[in-house]
Amino acid sequence: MSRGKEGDTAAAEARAASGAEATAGAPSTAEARAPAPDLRLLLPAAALFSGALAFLPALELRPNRVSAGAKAGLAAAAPAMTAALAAALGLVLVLALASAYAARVGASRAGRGRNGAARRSAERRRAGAALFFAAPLPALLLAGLGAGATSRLAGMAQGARASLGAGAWLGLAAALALPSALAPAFGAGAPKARRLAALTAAATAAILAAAGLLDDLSLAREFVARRASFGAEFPRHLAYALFPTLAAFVVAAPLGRAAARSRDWERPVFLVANAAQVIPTLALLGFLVAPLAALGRDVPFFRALGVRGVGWAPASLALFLYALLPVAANARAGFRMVDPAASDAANGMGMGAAGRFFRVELPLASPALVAGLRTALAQNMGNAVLAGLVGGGGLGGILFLGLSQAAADLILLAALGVAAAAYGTDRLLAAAERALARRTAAGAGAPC
Amino acid sequence: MHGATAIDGAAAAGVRSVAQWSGLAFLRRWWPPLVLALLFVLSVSRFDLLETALGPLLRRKTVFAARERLGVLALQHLGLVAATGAASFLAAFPLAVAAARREAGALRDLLLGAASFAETFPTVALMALLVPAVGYGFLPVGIALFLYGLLPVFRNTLVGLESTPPELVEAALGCGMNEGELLRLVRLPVAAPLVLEGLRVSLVVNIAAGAVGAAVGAGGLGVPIVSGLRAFDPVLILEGALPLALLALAADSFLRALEAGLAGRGSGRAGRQTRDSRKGAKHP
Amino acid sequence: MLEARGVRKSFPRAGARGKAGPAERALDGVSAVFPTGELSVLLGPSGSGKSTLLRLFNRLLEPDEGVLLVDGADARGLDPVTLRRNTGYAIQGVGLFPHMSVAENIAVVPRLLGWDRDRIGRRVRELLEAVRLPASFASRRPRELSGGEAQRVGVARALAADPPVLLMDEPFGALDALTREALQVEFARIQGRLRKTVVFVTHDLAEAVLLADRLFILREGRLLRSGSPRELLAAAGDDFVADFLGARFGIEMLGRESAAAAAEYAGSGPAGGLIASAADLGGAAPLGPEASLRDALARMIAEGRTALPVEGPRGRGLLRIEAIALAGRAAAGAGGNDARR
Repeated sequence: MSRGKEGDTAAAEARAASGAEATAGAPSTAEARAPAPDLRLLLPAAALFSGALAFLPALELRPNRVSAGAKAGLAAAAPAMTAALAAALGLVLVLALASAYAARVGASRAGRGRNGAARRSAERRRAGAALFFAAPLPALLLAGLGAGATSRLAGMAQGARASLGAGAWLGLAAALALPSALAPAFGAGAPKARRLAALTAAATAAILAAAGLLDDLSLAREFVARRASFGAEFPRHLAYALFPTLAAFVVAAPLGRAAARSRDWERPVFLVANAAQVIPTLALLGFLVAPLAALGRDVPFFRALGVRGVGWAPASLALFLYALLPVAANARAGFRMVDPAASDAANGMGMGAAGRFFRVELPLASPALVAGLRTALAQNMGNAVLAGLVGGGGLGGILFLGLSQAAADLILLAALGVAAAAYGTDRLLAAAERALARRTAAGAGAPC
Repeated sequence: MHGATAIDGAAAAGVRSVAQWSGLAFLRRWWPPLVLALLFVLSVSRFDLLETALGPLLRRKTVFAARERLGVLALQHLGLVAATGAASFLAAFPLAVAAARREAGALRDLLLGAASFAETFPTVALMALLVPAVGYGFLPVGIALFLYGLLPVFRNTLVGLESTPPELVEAALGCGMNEGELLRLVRLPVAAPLVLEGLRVSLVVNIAAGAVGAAVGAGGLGVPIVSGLRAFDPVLILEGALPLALLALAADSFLRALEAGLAGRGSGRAGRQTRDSRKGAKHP
Repeated sequence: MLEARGVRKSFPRAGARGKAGPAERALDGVSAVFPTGELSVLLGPSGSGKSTLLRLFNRLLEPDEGVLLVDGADARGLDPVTLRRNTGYAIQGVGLFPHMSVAENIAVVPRLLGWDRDRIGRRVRELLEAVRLPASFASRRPRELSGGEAQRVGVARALAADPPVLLMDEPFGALDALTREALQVEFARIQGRLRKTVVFVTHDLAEAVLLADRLFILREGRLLRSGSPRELLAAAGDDFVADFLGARFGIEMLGRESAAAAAEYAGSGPAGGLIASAADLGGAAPLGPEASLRDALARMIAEGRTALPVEGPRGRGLLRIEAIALAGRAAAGAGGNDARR
């Protein structure tokens, strides 16, 4: 059960975001380096990529889905794709080295060159080209693995599986690291470059999967075999994460605002919210079993709803409790940041309490509220796995099924689904937060 | 540097902090972790008291049939969390210090990005996936806890070191500190409360994840809960859940108290004193 | 002695959409000499490059072109860490370390220099006294100090290792007017005793005139004019400088002149009937020996008088309003010897 970051930590992260800029502007004998690819990351990543695929088994061929099997290298299994990958990596390296060299030469003549801007834009183009080839590399590797699996499985029995070996995982990790090494060449645009590269990789992988190129990988076979249950459990998982979190938002956001204004509220609210966050998932579920079982047994209304000691009820309630702290903490921070002067000004203009709240406080606090929702929702996307523990279904159900069958592919499939849902939610809401912060403009920024 | 605290002002500050450590002031800060730790010990050693007290409300279906007694399970849990927590702190802290260096460049962004993705991967899945590689038992759980424990410490230390107020950096450099002294004398002490917060989150996460480890045969306080959920026995569940919750709360409040102590060094009562004595202070 | 020769410095400016914009020129060929034992004030509007120039001298910044000399030695040849330990540095935000006590803050540089604990302890007590803070403050934390107290500690820290050179970047800028004035007077007193080579950045004319042995007027990275305040009052030499110094300059100058020095005394000079006219003053309280001509003028305006008694080092004297005008004109004239208080 991945217990994500707390609201406090999120706040600290925001501090770092502004702090990092400030530190960059701080005086130092080390003058700002010219934007260039980071070779100290690029070269090891490239070496890891080639080394892992050359010397470690990329595929594991197993007679059935749970037994061990024989190892196979990528070059032997898919020679054509291996060559293509090597060519792409070579291009990335050449372009990146050229860009880094140009930046170094440029830096030694810094400040004086009249054509500095033109030179910088040429460097940027080179780095952009390197990124263009590096970004889809993870997806290309998957395609190579898929092709290797197809060719190797051709002569084997029906139920045979080709799963990813250590070489494949390390290679994927190294390929995913490449854009990070190239991003510094874009200076302040580095985060955007990394985001773009990640999107490109995901989109390329999706296209390749849709085209059927990855069908013979064990994960894909497992997915096809379980398509129906995935189709049912994935939406259920999303619902587990979404509805309790929204309910918690409705409850905790006003409490956070009250806590921002008075210590009398702050103490009890955060005592409860923090305890709910700290108590381990398993213990929290354990506490809920007996009371909910009693409710479902003895109260007709709850019985009609289907409340039992296990199932959706304890899972939803636990997820609701987990979401309280991030929402309340961010709401408190957001409403605390509302400038008393802005409130006074609104008062002076003759706004009533409601007008002041909706037209001044809420817009100013909204980036923080969204940040709280984001933290809570992303956290609960992961925490929703616990529903599987009490028979509530969702991706956690599939995960624990895989656990009981000792089927690694099934576990991995469910886990990747959970991670993708959590990470995707986080990124999506982060984008929304940025957009909102930009609209609130120079004002609040993203406080949490 | 030798004799780093060798100044007479430090001695005076020392006297005051000794005063804070004594008697009531000590209790005011430390009673929550002390009470919670006491309750934890009680919940492990005298669970029968609770059972008799709640009596008819909680009817036990099965007798806890695990091979180990609850005390042993609690010790297993504590040992696992302490060992992995220490290991991940010792690994993550230097890594974060290295990543916070200006020269770390793109590595910092990569590590931070990887950490925030890794955090979303379900703990129990990682444990289960480790089983084929390292077998059942403590090892997969220990490795998973170690890895998950790294993330909060790494992120908080990095964030703490990077958010040193720029005027402090300027003042420190202006005083003639080199990079090492800047880190040791300014950045780390200023970041200390955040580093502790990272350690706290890391431990709390690991106490929770350690319980889930029961699912892959690691023992610990998760064992009665998992068996209880399977057998649908509320008493059995409570036998594990209560100490587990108290352990997490005790660890959390202990580290919070420590954080408060670090963040508020020299504040509190002394602050009020200042305002009063300021009137008396001679100002030319 | 500190000297800058033909120093240029520009900063890369962040342009739109994260692209690097054209470089911003902070210093554009500045040459200046800051003599040993004098307090030199860099004065100019914001963005004039005065802080940049200051930070070149302890190598927090490096020049693009030009040479910086510290006692005749090229700063580039000096180890920056050693250089900074031998150069006091005080900044506007004070930058006291929040996790250290006042004593530890003051002791930072001596500690870095490896002084033994007795010597450090003595030095801390000495400095607290010099900046007029009670010894009990040694164990306080920065957060327990008022702005003015924190700034005193900042000055004490800059002085801790008794560096020959002191760089100060608007050290009193963040304080309220009253506290600022008290600290300025205090600092002038300390400097009068220690005679450090001080480079002091400010955009506050009154502060500059009060403290400066030598004024350096900067604008947009160029040094427009330098000289003693009297020289600048006599001849601004430049429309911008004249505008920038403005009509207030003369009045601020009065703040430097001792009222006692300008007064007439019964025993010396042709001031017959002095005691009689002093009796006519109807018992006005005399000005103290520390009072400046500006203080005197302020009292005259407030009390509607044209003369005030003065308690000077040579006994009781009389200050007439004409004497103030004469002192102003004398200051603007030859330059002469500076009648600092």
